[in-house]
Amino acid sequence: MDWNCEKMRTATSNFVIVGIVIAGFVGCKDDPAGVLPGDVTATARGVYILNEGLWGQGNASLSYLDFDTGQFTDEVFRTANGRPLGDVGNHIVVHNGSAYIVVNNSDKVEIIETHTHRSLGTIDAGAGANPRQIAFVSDTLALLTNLYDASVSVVNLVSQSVVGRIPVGSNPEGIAISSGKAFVANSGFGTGNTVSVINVITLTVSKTIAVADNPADVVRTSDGQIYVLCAGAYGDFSDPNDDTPAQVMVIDPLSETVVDSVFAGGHAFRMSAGRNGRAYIVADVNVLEIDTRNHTVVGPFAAGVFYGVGVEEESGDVYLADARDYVSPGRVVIYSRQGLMRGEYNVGLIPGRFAFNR
Amino acid sequence: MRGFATSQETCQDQRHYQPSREGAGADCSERIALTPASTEEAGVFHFWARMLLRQTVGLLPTLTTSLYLLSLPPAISSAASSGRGESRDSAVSVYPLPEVVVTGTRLEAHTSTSPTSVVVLSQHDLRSKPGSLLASSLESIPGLFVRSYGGGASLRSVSVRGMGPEYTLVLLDGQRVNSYQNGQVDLGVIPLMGIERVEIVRGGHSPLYGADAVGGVINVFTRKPASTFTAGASLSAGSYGYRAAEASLSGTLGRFGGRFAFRNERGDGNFTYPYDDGITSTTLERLGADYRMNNAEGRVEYMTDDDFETSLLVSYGEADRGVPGPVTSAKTSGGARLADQAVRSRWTIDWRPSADKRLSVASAFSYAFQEYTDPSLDLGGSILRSVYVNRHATIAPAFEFTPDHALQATTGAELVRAWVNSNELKTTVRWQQSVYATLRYTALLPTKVPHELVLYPSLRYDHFSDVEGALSPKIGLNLGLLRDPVLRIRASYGRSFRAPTFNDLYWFAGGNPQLRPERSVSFDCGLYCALDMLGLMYLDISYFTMDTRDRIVWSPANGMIWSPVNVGRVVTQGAEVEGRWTGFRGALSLALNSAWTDARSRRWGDIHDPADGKQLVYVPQQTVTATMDLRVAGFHLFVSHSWVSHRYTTKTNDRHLPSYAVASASILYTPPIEFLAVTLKLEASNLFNQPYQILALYPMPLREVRATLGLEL
Repeated sequence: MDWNCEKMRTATSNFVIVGIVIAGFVGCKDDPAGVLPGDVTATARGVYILNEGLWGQGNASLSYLDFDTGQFTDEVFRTANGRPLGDVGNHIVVHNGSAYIVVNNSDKVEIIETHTHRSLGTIDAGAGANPRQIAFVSDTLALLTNLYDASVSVVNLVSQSVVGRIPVGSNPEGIAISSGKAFVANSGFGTGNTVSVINVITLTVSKTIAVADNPADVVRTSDGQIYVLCAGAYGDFSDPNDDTPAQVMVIDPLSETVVDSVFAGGHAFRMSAGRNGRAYIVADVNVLEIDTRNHTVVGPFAAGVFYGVGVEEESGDVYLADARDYVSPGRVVIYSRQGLMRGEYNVGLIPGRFAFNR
Repeated sequence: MRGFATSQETCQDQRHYQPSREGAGADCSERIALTPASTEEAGVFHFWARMLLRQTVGLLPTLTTSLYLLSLPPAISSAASSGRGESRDSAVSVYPLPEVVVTGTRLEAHTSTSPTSVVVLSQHDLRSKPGSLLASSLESIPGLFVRSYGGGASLRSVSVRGMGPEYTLVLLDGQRVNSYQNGQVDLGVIPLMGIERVEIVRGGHSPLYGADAVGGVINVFTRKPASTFTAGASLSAGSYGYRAAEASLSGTLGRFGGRFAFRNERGDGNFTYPYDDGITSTTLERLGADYRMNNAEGRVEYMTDDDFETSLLVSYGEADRGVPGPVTSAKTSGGARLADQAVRSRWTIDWRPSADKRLSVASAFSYAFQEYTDPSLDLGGSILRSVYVNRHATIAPAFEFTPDHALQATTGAELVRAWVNSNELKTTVRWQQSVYATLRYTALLPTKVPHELVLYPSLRYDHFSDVEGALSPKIGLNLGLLRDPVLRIRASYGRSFRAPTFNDLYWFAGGNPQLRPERSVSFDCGLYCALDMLGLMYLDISYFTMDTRDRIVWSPANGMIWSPVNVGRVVTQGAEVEGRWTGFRGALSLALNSAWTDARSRRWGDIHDPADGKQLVYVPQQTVTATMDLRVAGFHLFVSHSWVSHRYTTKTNDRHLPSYAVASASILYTPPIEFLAVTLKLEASNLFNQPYQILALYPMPLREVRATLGLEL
């Protein structure tokens, strides 16, 4: 269940472009569909691992670990739907009993039902949009960043279509919503240093906030603040001395200002936050643990080179994605909140994102 | 009467089947003498004709060579066929002898006596096959695999024996064509215009040619001036907006010869293809794949007498192409463009102070500009724009010594300066100094079986200013077992290497200047057989192994910056079988060839490699091609059918593209018109409209037809 669920129940919104009809399936309860032969049936609790796949090969895939049965299954999307997921699976979010998978180079968002993994529809992001990440305003409205279009798409979840675009900065990547605002990281493909603030009522940019170099991931912490992970600029690639280090910018969503920063170092580029006052950052050679209550680095959480991180909110378990050499199947390593390794699974090509199913 | 075809018959055949008479005219008019010589025991008749071919081999200029009558099917086998009926002794078989080639040894050798397998594409082969690009002529050669990103003038590269395109050295009249920047050759912009013949040798040949000749060498020979004045023109049209026009002038006046040619080719590239992603099943049109190419070349030669010749060749090519990316949705748009400009010049001097010595000097310069843009990729407010300017200059003296028929040796040097300017690489210069020596020693044995042994030792050293040098030795042999039928076995063993490219070393984001050359050791053996079986049957079988270490592999280093390191190893083995039968006085030729390639990644040192033991991506394990060549009453029909096995698309071989079979055909008609050679050619590729992909998500065109009308005075 998306942590925004309760807030979404009571959210009301006036939309500028098209009136949204609230469909009958708004809610946070799953409504399992019929089961086809060959389907992979999941229980209520588990985690999706989104494997990006190789660019231009069309081999993105979805793995699933069922918490209740302990069963791990690869290629759940392909098995359930009889077709490949697409090219470059970049982001996945479970919202309202459905999983939304942003398939970057296929310009689409796949929607699946989380019990059977069967398709509930496909959102066409538009040719050349290159969607990156999705965030949910309500059960009927979502926002989708478009990497090469300098825009954020407004998505009608009922009609499963893009109904408009909001211009933002260059190469938007991460997006997160807090206090009725969407915060969009304008990476500039490594040269950007701003965050666009979108009013989710008016669906317009209300402010542009200056941050550190190369903003990438954006998360909402348990206390409602916005963390923007800025991966740092490279400058001259052959001269590491002119690089700017990665740091987390802490934004107060009410004042729309940067109120603090957390030094991460290197070129950390992925981040995930739990409900337990902890956030985890994938840095160059390890994963850092951050205390989001006082904006400090607790210390290295795990050593190694990883590509993605996710936090299971109930247990606080940390899931780390290891892409290995990026051309061979990767693996996922699970650590307890205390840093004890709990499990390891081989997954698909370039695992990068996690979405927890509750 | 000895059984042999006269030179006149050979010339007539060539004129009949080759409307462009440049090559034929030069051959026929310059035959000086026919000196029959034979060994009575074998019953094989050798004909020596000293003639000045004015070919350029390696960076050597023209050669004076001994030539056996051409008989390699399907080119001029009618000469051989006519010889049969004139044989004095009906119990003795007459075998037209193979072509003389130079690429496999840097010396004159027949395809049958070469230490490695050599495939020759004659001008006849090049013109009879469908397609207007060099790439299309290479597609059915066993052991070669042409990777194409679509139709028209799309990017194409060739790999040999499972090794990638950066391991295949392409020469143009001996001049390196491979980019120093990425080590590859884009065959999508090389037309057949001006190409006389192509010699293909498979296996490691760095001891002869230096860096990158690991999988094989493709040596393209351009046409020389015709002995008489000729003027030609052709017009072509075909599917998907294909249009081409070509014109040429060629001739010799006194001691001067010249050849000039121009070609314009364009197309819309908007072929249709089936699309099915499980949601949408439809037929789409390939967008943004239009192209336009212009090519021009000029060649002038001056010859004082048989002992001295100098020539200057300048060629220019430009191309503007749409390069749509992989088809990842039903609405994939194409906006990326690729612009190329290339200028090549070569000046050669060839001097024979005596009959057994030759001194030559070749100097060459190459300039290549390439710009890639993609307006759909907004990178921090700017569109993606990559610019590369590659240049290299070469001076190559060589000395050849032929004291007698048994021994021939050549030694030479190369001084090369290569440099690149780009917005994505550091400006860099590479100096290369190389020396090489190779010889051929032929020993006639006192026994009947075997009767002849030919040895080919070679050695080369390459020194580079920015990477380690390489010493490349090789030993080859060819053993004649039988004369009738002809049966010979061959073997070679040597070391080759691939030098890190400028991209590997100096790429802005992650280039590694500490890279070492990749090293390989290769072994090759085979047999060649020619026998009389209701016609002429040729069989050539090769087996090879190759072990390449220190392979350069790009992998993520710090953060998301990828960097190359020498950590890979690949072990390759395989076999190639080529069989051809020619009968009915050369009117019908049937060929069947197949290649098996097992190219696997191997664990190197202590580094964990999940791909250990897996087939390399996009390397088919098996290919089979069958061809038929039929000539009747001015018509020439060529049909080819190729099957390619599945190809893995991931290192761990958990995904693959299915096998595919593609047929093509062409028919040429040359009406018997005096004073004017007219040719009408109709060709069809993918005859049976098969949807297929060579590379994942890059559809190939369905059936494509073209028509060409050629005129020549």
